Amino acid sequence: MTSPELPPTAKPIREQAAAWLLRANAPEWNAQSQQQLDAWLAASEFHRASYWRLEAAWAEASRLAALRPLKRPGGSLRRLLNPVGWKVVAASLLFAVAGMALYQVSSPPDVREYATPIGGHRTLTLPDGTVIELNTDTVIRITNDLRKPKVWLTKGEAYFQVVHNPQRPFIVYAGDHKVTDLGTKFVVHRTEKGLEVALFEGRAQLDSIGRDMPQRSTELSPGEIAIATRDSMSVTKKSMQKLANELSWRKGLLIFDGTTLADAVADFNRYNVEKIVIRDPSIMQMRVNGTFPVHAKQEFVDVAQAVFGLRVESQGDNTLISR
Amino acid sequence: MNDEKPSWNNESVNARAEDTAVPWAEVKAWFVRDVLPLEATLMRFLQRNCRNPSDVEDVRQEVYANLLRAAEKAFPERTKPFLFSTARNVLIDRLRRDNVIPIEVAADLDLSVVPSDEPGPERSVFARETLRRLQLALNDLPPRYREALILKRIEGLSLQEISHRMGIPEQVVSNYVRRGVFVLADQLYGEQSAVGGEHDLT
Repeated sequence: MTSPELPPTAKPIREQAAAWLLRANAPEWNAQSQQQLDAWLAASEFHRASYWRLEAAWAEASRLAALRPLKRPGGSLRRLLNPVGWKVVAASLLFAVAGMALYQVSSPPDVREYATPIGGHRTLTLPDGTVIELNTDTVIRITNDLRKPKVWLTKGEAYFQVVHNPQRPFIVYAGDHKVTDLGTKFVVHRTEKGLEVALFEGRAQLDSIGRDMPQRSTELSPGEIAIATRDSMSVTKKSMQKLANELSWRKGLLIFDGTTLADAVADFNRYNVEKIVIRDPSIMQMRVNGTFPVHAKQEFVDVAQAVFGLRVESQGDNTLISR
Repeated sequence: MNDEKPSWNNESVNARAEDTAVPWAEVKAWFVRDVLPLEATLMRFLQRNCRNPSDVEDVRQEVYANLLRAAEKAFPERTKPFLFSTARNVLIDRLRRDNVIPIEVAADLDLSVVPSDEPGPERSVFARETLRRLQLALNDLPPRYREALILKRIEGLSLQEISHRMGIPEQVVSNYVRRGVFVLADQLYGEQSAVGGEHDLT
């Protein structure tokens, strides 16, 4: 591995790499510039090492959006550094069962609305091959204008497997936010508090667009989950295995792994009209493991009764559990 | 913001994948995922063993370049021992090239003990630490650099827009942002504070 000439010094290459990185993030960037960058990268592994390192740091820096305070653009940046409550509420992206009818609600001229009832699950395939799977209790609207594909997630949760076309990015609007596909498989879930976006493949960009709220933007990489509310946007990373569990709803399953009883019950309640009610707060933090079909509410209650020694009573359609 | 940003990078990397035994996209993913988190340990090793501390960045770059060249032919089985034996070879090559000391002496140097078994950051720890390190990097930057970097990276403004907003020439904005990226990368991967002239901050 002895080369006759001396290896290049780091600084000039680092400068060039940074200049490329800035160009690649400017609006003028096009296919021709990309070819030039590729040629530069191909010229030397020193170039690749330097560029990939800076590019990786640049990509990580998108997380700084998570720390963004409520502020006017151009205001003090100091508060940017206040850490945000960081923990992701276990995404509990649950699911539904096959066979429930998806019903078409109303159709303005070029927008169609689709909905699933509680416990419903439905797959739509768009003409370009993009697949959308609706989870329980979900409403979406889709434009049938293929040049500008847009989806509005009115409520609930949906999985998107987008056939990417750089000429026409696929956009999902959800309340105060929008998700732009950059070649992607992702789940968007509207919760009471805000929005959860989990990215499985490719890239996607999440922007806040609500009026009278600070503009935030973050780019997601595979394995990342963004949680956005009116006031904050945070990104966290999960193992692909954990993330895969969150897609179990597509198979009609709930997977619990150290899940609190409170969360597990909330999950079942998403898929069942008859609710489980925890009457005794002291049992909420009990941990549950196991895999259950979404509608196997009764089995779940039986197991909780047997394993935790809980009391189970019926009240109308609901099931009350307590110590 | 950046709605139209195309995903050129991955596509073009894949396009030239057949040029090498291991596709670039894979090498790049490995480099980012497995190698860069070891940079802090690598830097400590290099700082202990470089004759001239100002050479450390050059040496690191040479180590990375050699590592990529090797990985493009075949992936190493274990990243960490491979990284440090590469680093050791680079250091010895440099001593030899500089003709300072005979090779036998080089072999006796401290660098025969490579820190392969030193506990390095696990990837998951690294991921958790990322945000804290980014914060440290921002803290390290002078306010104007920080502002330019955030306007570019987070607000997604163009250099021209930032130039108008901050009332400074585009070239200066570009300089601020580029220096900001160096500090980010050094802090994120190398755990180094870049304050003190390393990146010519003013």
